[in-house]
Amino acid sequence: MINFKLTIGILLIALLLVTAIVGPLITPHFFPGEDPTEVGAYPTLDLPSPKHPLGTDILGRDAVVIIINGIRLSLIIGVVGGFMSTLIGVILGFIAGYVGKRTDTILRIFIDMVLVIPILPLLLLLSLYIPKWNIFTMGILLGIFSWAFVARTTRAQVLSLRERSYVDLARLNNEGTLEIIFEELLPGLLPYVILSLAGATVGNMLAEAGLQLIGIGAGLPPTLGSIMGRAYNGGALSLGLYGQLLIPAGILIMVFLALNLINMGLEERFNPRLRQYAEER
Amino acid sequence: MERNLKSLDKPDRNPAQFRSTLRNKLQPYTPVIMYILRRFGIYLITVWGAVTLAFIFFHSMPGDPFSIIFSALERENIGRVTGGPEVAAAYKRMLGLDQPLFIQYIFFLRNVLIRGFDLGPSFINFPQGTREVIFRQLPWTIGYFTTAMLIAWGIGTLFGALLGWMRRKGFTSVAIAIATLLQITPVYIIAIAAIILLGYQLQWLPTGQPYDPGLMPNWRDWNFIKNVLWHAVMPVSSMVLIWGASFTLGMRSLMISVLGEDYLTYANAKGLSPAIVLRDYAFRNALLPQVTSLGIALGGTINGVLILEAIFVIPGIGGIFIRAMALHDFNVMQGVVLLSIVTVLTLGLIVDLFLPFLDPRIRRLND
Amino acid sequence: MFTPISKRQHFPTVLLFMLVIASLLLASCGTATTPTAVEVTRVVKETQVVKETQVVKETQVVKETQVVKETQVVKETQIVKIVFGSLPRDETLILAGTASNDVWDTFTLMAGALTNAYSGHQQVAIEQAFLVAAGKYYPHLAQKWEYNADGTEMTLFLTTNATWNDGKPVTIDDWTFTLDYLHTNKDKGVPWGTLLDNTKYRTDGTDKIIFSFFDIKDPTKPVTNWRFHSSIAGFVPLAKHIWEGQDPVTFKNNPPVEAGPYKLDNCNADTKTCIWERRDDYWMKDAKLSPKYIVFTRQPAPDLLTQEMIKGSFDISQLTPKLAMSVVMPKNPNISMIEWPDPCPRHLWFNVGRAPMDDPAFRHAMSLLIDRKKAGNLDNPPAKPMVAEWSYQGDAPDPNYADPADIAQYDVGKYDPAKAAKMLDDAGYKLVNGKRVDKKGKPISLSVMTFDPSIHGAAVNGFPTMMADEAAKIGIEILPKVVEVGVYFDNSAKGNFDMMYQWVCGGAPSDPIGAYNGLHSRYLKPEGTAAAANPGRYNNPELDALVEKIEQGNPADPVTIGYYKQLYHIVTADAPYVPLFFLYQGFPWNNEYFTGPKDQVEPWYWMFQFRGLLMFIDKAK
Repeated sequence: MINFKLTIGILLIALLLVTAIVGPLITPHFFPGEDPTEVGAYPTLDLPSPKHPLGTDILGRDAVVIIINGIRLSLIIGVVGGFMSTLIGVILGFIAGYVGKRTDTILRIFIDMVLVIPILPLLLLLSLYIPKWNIFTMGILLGIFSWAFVARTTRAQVLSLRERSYVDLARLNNEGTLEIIFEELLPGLLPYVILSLAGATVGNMLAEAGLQLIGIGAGLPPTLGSIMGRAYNGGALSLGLYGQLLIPAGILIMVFLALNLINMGLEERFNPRLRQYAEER
Repeated sequence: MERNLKSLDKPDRNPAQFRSTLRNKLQPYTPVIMYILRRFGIYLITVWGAVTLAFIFFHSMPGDPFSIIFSALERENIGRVTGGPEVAAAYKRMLGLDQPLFIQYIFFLRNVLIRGFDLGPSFINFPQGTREVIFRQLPWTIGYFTTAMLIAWGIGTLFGALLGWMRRKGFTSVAIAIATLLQITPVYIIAIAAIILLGYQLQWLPTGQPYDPGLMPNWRDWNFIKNVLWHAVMPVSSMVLIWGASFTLGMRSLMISVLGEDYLTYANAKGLSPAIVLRDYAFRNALLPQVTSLGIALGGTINGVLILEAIFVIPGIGGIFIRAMALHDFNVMQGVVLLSIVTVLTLGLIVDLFLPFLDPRIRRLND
Repeated sequence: MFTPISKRQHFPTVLLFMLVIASLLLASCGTATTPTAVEVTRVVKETQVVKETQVVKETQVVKETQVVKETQVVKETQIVKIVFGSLPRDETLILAGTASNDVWDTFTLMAGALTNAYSGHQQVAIEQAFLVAAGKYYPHLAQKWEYNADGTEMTLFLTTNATWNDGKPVTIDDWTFTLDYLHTNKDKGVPWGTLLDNTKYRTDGTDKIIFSFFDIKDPTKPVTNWRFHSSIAGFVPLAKHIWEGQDPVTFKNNPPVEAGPYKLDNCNADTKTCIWERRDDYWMKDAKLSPKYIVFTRQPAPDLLTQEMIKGSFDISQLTPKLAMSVVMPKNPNISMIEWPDPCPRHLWFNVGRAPMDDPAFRHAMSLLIDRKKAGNLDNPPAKPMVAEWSYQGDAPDPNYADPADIAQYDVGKYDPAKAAKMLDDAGYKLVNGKRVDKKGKPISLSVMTFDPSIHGAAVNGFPTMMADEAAKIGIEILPKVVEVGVYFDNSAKGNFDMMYQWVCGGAPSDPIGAYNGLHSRYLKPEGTAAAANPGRYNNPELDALVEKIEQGNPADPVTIGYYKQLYHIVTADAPYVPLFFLYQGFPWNNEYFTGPKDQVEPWYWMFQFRGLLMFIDKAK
């Protein structure tokens, strides 16, 4: 039942989550008496040594510890943003798809308008004026600007589900609208919602990392993207600190890989037509 | 459908009564005309809505570009430069920024529509106007990204069709796995990997700048063009690699879904060779949604544009945008955003209007 | 239902794509060689070597000697690298900077802070009245100055043989035109626009301008200004025949007509490269101008920049000292580091208008929380903790300007969190449930505004975090707030901060008026309105009086120096700002083609100062 791709994908995500949660609890034990995340604890930009496997960063903190903490921060941004965008997107997409006609047209125009506005730069502008600027607010902002794609796919899905025979059956059985929504449509929608959530999460992590790379996105505690950006813009390769650039990139790639594996695995499970054609003919 | 069937009952021409009016001539095309009009109407509304949204957003942001600029001036030159706030106020008056938002909006619309895209003055490049700044650097963005997108689409479509046709041969699984991995990788990671590997370690290719710094642009000189192309290899290749992967996979799944159709079975049964079936029937029909996805993709790359232009040092509109952000130059940011909005929507419109001519099915189905 | 689409319609499209791909591949194959460095042989020396052969013939009668001369021409050639199109490498000085500007076709100073500082115009094309380098005044477009007995007038003697780069002479008319022109346009933010608000000038037919100073509010009342020579030193006269009738903001001055030693060859906006060529008709005959060409270009990303520096492609670049010293210098023996202390030391400013920062005791306690040495070590080279201005003077400040008793009494520059806690207890900020509350009973939570490390270094970015850690131990919440440059200036001017990092440019070591006149109440504006100076909204009539006395006094007068000591006492006791450290800047210098300065001079990319650097540049070998 559970195929290969799905397993690997879920395992990778689990590994990441475990590292993010448990990591910050374990790492202090490797540095007895010191705080490796304290600014200025060690000389800045040190080369890798047995004590600091990846060297130290520009503010004198141990790179490995910072990266592990960074996973947690990046995940928070991703999850918060993903939740936000999925929530808004599913609700609006659902209304557009289910109610139809006038509302649908108006909502579709609205969704297109928001889809077309480039979110990343505007996000950064807003970030300058928010008083309490931290990880959560960044995640929320990312989510607010990226729900349009989710809305679009949800709407398409709802449109196709609406015409299925079991919905007609439910209508014939005089089920109320609310009942139809919750008992027939939403379960069919669930896999897509989960996929959208995962996709949005990863997309937000990506976006944040990309922004840190070009140097915008100031003022947050070091996320993976920030470490990567500082390493690239600070000449880490010439200094011999390859790890500080490659490891965060590798972790991000791992996350995307895991997501896509889950995606493909779920698709093969839920979409028998594709599997059939791919395997038989 | 009913309407058209009814028109079949009616004789087209009654030699005695037929008058060659425009209305009679146009009648069979009415659904198409209605579709075009409706689509265009939606386009106009969406453009207007997005433009207004962007305008409101940029003009209601706090932070006054002139006070930033002149505070910096004051800091460096106490005593040498006029009082910052007074000069800032003078500039604001000069540029019409002290008017209420609605009046500014009217002026803005007038400037854009009637005065030929005058997007207002640019604060950081004063006195050059926004229009000059953006259009001077726009050709680079178009040249790099649109070309890369078109090439990616071309390669991706061909390769995807091949993969879809071949289904489950040996190397297709490998190719699909690679394409999947590439598709989800953000372009900037590949870009940085390319810079590090090819530019830094092996030093095979130049890693940035549109052409060698010593050359002056001379588009009649073949050496100059060669230099531009050489510098473009790395950026364009990274983009083609990633975007091509997603086009490949899209085309492949379209191909697979088309392969299940009945008319292919019929074509095979007729005895046509596999090559002809692939080319004329399968490929052709899978192409249509693929063209749609090209239209969508062409418009949606502004985010990638920003990051890639910063990494590869391409003098396009992404770089302008980033610098405008640092100094809160609203007009430039607004201009870039407006440009991208209008481009995306227009391309979508063109694709939507172009498709009915490609696929007669759509003509009858009125969206 | 399905009409098969005609077969031939789409094929041209596919073919077209294949053609495009194929041609692109061909084109990229064709340019397999990187056309960057071209080498050309240049004949350096031609010597004629004469070879003599002697032929001796013996005949019956006479001895015939024939001397046959063969001349051979020996050419000594030298391989010369050609860069940037046609410039010989050993005559071109190449500077690579961050080049973050978009305007590359305008060469004026009128845009103030937005002027493109990377095109080279300000560095090598313009000419100032005097060049101030390392504290000395070198005569350029002006020869000397003289004050009258009571300091209400200053006479400026102009240079007579100066010429613009289009051949016309620089006359006193250009000077007077410029003074009036800038004053007329002062509301456009042009430099020196307000000079004539409190200064009059007159000419007497010779090459002198006599400036007289008056009260800005009452033009008939003369005032003394013994510092006018330093404010007029950087004055750049404009060419009247070029600028007359032009709008200062829109005029491009392209190609730039200036009185300086280099003229523009070309400037390319796509690659951000500007090439300047030495003027053969430059009027200062004894000026040392070693490079024939100077190129200002854009530097690549740090990793690639280190490679370029190792290869020796640039002579000067903005590479961080850490990378330069640990990566480039070991691999390229031609590279040396030039370091100097930044003349504007870093301080922590308080917004005195907000509680609890209106309490001097609180401010002193905050200062005690900062471990300046540890924060300074975050930078490379490390930033040095300071106790007083005038970083040129090293560690121990001049006791004439800064009383050591004050330094000791007010714990200037000390790190002592325990004492800070005690101070807060004594001042009435009690601990309630582990958090200190202010006089109103609210828990104290303050922000410290600072920059990203990529802008001013890691030390100024890191110290608020360290401060926050220490403050947390004694019950105060401090939030480091890293903001962008634009937002920073906006917030600073409007007083939108609790505490912030900012620098203080003191001025000359013997006359540090710049450290104090920014605190004068004449700059006071309410919070929310942009103020030109005094961001912390400090108001002290004693300080105002002393500053005014110094401004009107003669900096050479020992009485004035006495005022400085009093000022230091006030500022140290009251602490509207507290000193942190001064930063060391540095850049790598490639000695392969040109040797650089041995002493400390101002940094090259600070607008006009590169001319000073030029005096110390020689050709290598």
